[in-house]
Amino acid sequence: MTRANGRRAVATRSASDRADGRVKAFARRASRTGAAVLTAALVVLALGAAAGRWQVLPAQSVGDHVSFEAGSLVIVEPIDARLLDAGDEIYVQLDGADGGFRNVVSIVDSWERKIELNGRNGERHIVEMPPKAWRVSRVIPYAGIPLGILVGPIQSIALVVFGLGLIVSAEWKRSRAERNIDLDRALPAASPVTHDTPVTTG
Amino acid sequence: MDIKNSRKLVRRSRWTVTVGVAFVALGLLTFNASATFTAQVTPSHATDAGDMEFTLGGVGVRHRIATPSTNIVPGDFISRTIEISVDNEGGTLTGATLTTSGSGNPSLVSTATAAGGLGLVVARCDVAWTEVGGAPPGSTYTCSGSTTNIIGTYNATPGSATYANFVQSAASLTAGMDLTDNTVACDGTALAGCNYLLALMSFPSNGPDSMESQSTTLSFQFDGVQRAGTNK
Repeated sequence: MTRANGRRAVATRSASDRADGRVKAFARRASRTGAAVLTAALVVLALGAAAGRWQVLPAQSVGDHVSFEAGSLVIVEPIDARLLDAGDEIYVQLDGADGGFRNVVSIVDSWERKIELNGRNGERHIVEMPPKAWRVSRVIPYAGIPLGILVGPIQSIALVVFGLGLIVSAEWKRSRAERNIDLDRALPAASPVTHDTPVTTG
Repeated sequence: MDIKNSRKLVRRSRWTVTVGVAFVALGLLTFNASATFTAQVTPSHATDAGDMEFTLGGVGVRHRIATPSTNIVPGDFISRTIEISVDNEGGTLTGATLTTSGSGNPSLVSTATAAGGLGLVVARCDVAWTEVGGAPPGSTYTCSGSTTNIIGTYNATPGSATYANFVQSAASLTAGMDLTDNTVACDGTALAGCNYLLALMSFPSNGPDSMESQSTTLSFQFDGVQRAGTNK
């Protein structure tokens, strides 16, 4: 751009523009860091769950005297059922029904792994536990609601396929872009000789 | 595509890969959550039949029933203590009965009536009976607490007691017995569920000559009465 006096206008940024830019850059960096941390946490949780060190479950069915509400996200850890104690909160599936979180009332026979559980609506059950029990370790309130929507074999397969699709397509685009960059670097530098360069012969 | 756009695409694709990894991880996580991992339990139903038991005391001042009485003649009185501890866990007992009979041939009680054969009084003292005169034969018993008549009417003077027919068929003892569950050994004090009974028998003075030289074994059978069945 040429001003009226014939001088070129110099592009300058005001102080507020620079501050805006810094805020945007910070927000971008923070969101990237957050996404990386979230991804890392998901990967760790998924690997631990696959290895059987813990399970991450949405609390959809909660019995009497359980200390958290339905809709929480619960991390359960496996323990020897003979080590259960009164007051523990465990994840169990009663009589083939859907799993739920129940409070242990008392230990009827620890050797036989018989325990008394608080059911729902004042009911109590005496149950014989399998060798491994899943005891509540951590609870995150309300976080179980979105997880509850995503739980299920169809949703899980869809998530995995979608994630793999994203990775493959991103890798394909990246390799193409890198090839372009390599090609760009391989081009020869422009010759300073032009067609109207005077050439003087001897 | 210029080099600047290509570099932007490379940067963007790294983040797309990150998001893809997050989706895959989330998919694995939710798959684990939906899978039926081994948390299933088998409901078991514990069934515990209630205890109903009478336990007789050990031989001693509080339990002399096994001491035989020999060479009795009309006008004799026989006093024997019986100690019974009640096991009534969960209130399974609502009552008790006493069946008395005699065995032997001929028997002093086979045709006995209160007037013509052995008569019987059974009374309960809320503490152990005090033995007077040493171990039987010849002993009498007094109650330092309060007495309850179970069969007949007790009197500290045996001749003044009112005797019932010795043979009793499932006479109800509910009014006179303490059926509280007892978890400790009876020790002679007024413990719940400890029954200190006295069986007082008389050979009436008008007993017929036909009873001479007869012998019989008197049997005292205590039965618990189970409560009525209900929904459990």
